Amino acid sequence: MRLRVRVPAVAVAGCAVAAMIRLADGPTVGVHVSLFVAGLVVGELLVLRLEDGTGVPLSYTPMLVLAVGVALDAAAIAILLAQLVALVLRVDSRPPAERWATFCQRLVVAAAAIGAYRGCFAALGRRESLGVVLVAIAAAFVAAFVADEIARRAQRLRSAMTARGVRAWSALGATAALMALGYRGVDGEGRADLWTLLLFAIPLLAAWYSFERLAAASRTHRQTLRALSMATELGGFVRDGHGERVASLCERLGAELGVPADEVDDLVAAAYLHHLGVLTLDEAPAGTREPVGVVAEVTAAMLGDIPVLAAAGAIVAGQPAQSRGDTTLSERRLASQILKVASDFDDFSEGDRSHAGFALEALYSSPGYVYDRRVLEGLERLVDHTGLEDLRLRLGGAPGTATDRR
Amino acid sequence: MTDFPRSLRLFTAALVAGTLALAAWLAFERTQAPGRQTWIAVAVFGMLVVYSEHRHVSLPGGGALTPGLMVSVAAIVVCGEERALLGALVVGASAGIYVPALRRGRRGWIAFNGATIALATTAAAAVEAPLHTPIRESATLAALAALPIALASVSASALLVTMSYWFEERRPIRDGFARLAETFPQSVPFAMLGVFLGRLYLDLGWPVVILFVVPILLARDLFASYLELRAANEATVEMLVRALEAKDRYTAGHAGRVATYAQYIGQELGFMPWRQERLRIAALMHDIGKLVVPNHLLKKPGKLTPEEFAAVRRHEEVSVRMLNSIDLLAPVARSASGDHTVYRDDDPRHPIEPFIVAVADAFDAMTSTRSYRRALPQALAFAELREKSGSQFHPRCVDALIAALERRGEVHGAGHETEVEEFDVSPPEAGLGSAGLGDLLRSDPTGLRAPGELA
Repeated sequence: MRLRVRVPAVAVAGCAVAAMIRLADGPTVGVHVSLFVAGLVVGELLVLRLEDGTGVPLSYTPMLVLAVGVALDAAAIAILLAQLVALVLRVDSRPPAERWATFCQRLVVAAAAIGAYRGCFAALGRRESLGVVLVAIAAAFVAAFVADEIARRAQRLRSAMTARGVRAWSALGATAALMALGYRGVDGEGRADLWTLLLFAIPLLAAWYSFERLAAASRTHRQTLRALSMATELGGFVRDGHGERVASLCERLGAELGVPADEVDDLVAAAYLHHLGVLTLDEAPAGTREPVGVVAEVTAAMLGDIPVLAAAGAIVAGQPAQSRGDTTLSERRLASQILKVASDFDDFSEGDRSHAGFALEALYSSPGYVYDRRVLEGLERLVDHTGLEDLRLRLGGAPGTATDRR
Repeated sequence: MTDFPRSLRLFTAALVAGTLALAAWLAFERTQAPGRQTWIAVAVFGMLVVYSEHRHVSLPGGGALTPGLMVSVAAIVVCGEERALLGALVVGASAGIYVPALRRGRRGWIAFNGATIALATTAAAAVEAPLHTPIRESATLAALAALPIALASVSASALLVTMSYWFEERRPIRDGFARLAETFPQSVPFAMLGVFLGRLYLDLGWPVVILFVVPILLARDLFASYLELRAANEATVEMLVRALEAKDRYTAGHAGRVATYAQYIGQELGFMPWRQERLRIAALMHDIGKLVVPNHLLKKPGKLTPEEFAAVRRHEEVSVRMLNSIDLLAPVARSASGDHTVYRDDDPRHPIEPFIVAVADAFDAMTSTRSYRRALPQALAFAELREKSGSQFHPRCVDALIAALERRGEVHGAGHETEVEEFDVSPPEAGLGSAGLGDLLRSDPTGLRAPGELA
């Protein structure tokens, strides 16, 4: 079932249950809990997607409202019920172990939020003022964030403390605080009804929409770069998968050597497109190659014409430059050196990870001015620590065959 | 005010004078003078309005997204507590403050915008006044009250802007109604949020304003990043197309023209914006595989050997593979394959985009001068498309392209080419068609053959 079916289905089911409770003269809390359960499940389906593809669910917002605004037993029932429903709804999208891990993660986050709110409120003497309520809500939010981070680490996921992660948690926290404040009120009597809470969710939904668009655009951009790098591969100018492998390696090396995140994005674009210029050059006579640096120069000129790729073009342009043993390379020159090392490493290893040792040795045995020592050492660390198993290295032909035509 | 149209100066001066007169009258009318708390709210919301206007997001199709109306409506509700229309007017006027315009010395526009929004906000505040008590007492009534408040604000603003257009260039008044109809539905959700933000401010004070606005500003930032990334992606594709045209100068401008014709067809068929965008990129990239074709083959003036022809045709397979590797374009990857866009063989469940690109490609192939043939007249190109409509070409795409070009009054083809490549050897009048058209022959230089006679 697609998202656009699941979300309205869950919302309608929640409203139907609430209407039935109301018609049967059931307790108001029952109506509220059933609507909160629907909200939690919808929030589980809608996530704010981060750079690495993982997400922070919108359900943390109603979870915090429940933690703050209703009795402990009602909150526990609503959260447990919602997570069980979400567990079932995720059935076609994730393996069972992952679904159960997410289920436990949500319960831990909820417990942390409830505990922190109640603990903080008790510590502050249960006085009713806007400041006290805001501090207690903030404590619940921080506890939820910390619990989520710990759960992410336990699942070996990357931290959510990225540019998008900080924005995601800020949006969730602000909306949760607003809803909790509106629903609970300062004196214990909530002023906002459930419809108002729905209205308060609109800014968060707008943020979710923007996250979705941005995630889709990021994916498309990377796929476009990948498709463009395929042109050189399908034309037989470089080995299959060269662009993808060099981009992956550059990303890792950039992180290893402390290149800032936005520079890494430029480095990845440069890695995908660094051979592109070869497509526009007239063929070299049989048995000869294009002079070293010509392709880089042409590619850099092509990329330099596009403002958003100009930085990538500069990285490509700096690639043939010799390091001269300079240990204080500027960021741009460091990025160029990373690209050079990654590309030549892929050429020497011929896309086969079992040749990584040989490739590294070949790089080290080059004259000292060709490659930057710091980059080679960073690469060596990556090879030693990870064996580059996750770099999508693929077999690319028998050793000894020609690789590229720079 | 050098860049401000002379015809608008008098109108703007009257508008500013009217606003100041209204402000003075409200200031001296004791029952409507804001108290201290209201002035604090005016300062908070005024700064927020200015900030919102500076953080607007320009949309690719024109227009801009800004939470300014939401903040203004919240201020109206807060000022409504004391029936202080002056406070609403001041918040509205502050929306005109725009530093980049000030730096460029565009004081005329600042005065115009400030006065217009101030009057529109005051009109909305006047509508809110009798609704204020129900707004405070019931959430449902508050939601409903947002409708007339938004209508008052948008109507007053549309009226004044329409009048300005009439003064400036005598633009018809009905354009103003069109603007109103376009703007009103978008403004209602913002007005509703504004009403509730105002209520919350009154109940819980200024901290809630921050909590409310944070996700909106984050959404704005992310949306702006998304638009930048989308533009970057399109620029990347266009760079590749330019690289292709540098390599194969005989098809210079071809990809861009095919993309334009494809978009014409998409518009005729009522495509949504996202689908138009996908169509445009697919059309731009339909020949991208030519990048891997050796230059000497693309530049060969004479006839290609069968082996050479096969090597050139490989570009279709490469283009399809490249398009297929992008999720957004994968459903329309067949656009790049000449063999798979023949209408009669098609499965009706397939998307129509490849057929659109096929028609646009064929039309441009016929109406452009190529190394093997001079451009044909548009009439002959239309006749050829109609002749093969329903067999080779999708009938709806053919009809849509012809209708779009006729409605726009555009004429392409012989005698109307804007970019004509200088060829080493002058192309013949007739020759092999591309885009699956077969031979296109003309019986003599002065007369056209009937479409049925075309081989």
